[in-house]
Amino acid sequence: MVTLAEIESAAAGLSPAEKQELMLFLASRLRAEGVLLPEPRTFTPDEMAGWIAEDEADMRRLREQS
Amino acid sequence: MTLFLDSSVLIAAAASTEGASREVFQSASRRGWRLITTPYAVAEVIRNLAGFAAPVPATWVRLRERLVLVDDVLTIDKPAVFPVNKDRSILFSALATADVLLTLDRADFGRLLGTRFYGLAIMTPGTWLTQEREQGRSGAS
Repeated sequence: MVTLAEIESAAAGLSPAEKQELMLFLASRLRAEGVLLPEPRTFTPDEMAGWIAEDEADMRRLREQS
Repeated sequence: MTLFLDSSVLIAAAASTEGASREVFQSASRRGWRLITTPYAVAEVIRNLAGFAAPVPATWVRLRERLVLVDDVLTIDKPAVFPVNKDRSILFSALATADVLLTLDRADFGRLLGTRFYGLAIMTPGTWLTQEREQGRSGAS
């Protein structure tokens, strides 16, 4: 068993408990090997405008209810 | 109560005086809320606020002084049984350090908003303020 596809196929046949154990094993391996932070994300102007609009609308509703 | 603010909330707080995110900052000391974030989230804010006009960058500097920085957390010893994208470090850092994760980022957290991740509540700032008001612990100024 050498390819990722073969490993995934074998993992699919595990019981739920064994799958969880496998995930914990992989998480511990990732930690041991060191995981690098991804690059900070660049958001689009529309994305940020959407956050701000929703945030302001939420605050307006909150004030109207008081 | 410790609130983890992700970059979407930090950007909204810096960019608008009228949003729930700014209200969280304004109410924090009075309500005993500890506001935290990570260096990764701060780096995202700095990168994305570069396109905003004055006084937004200066406002961010003032808001930044009220935040406690905690280390970025990249992995946890619990399985994450749903898609976790580029925001993985945000979710895991919040889980390790906070009671509540506040976010406006529906692209990455939409499926988790209003739910809990191993006990960590995930919601928008508006929902947080509404919940606090309903429980008699806060009111909008």
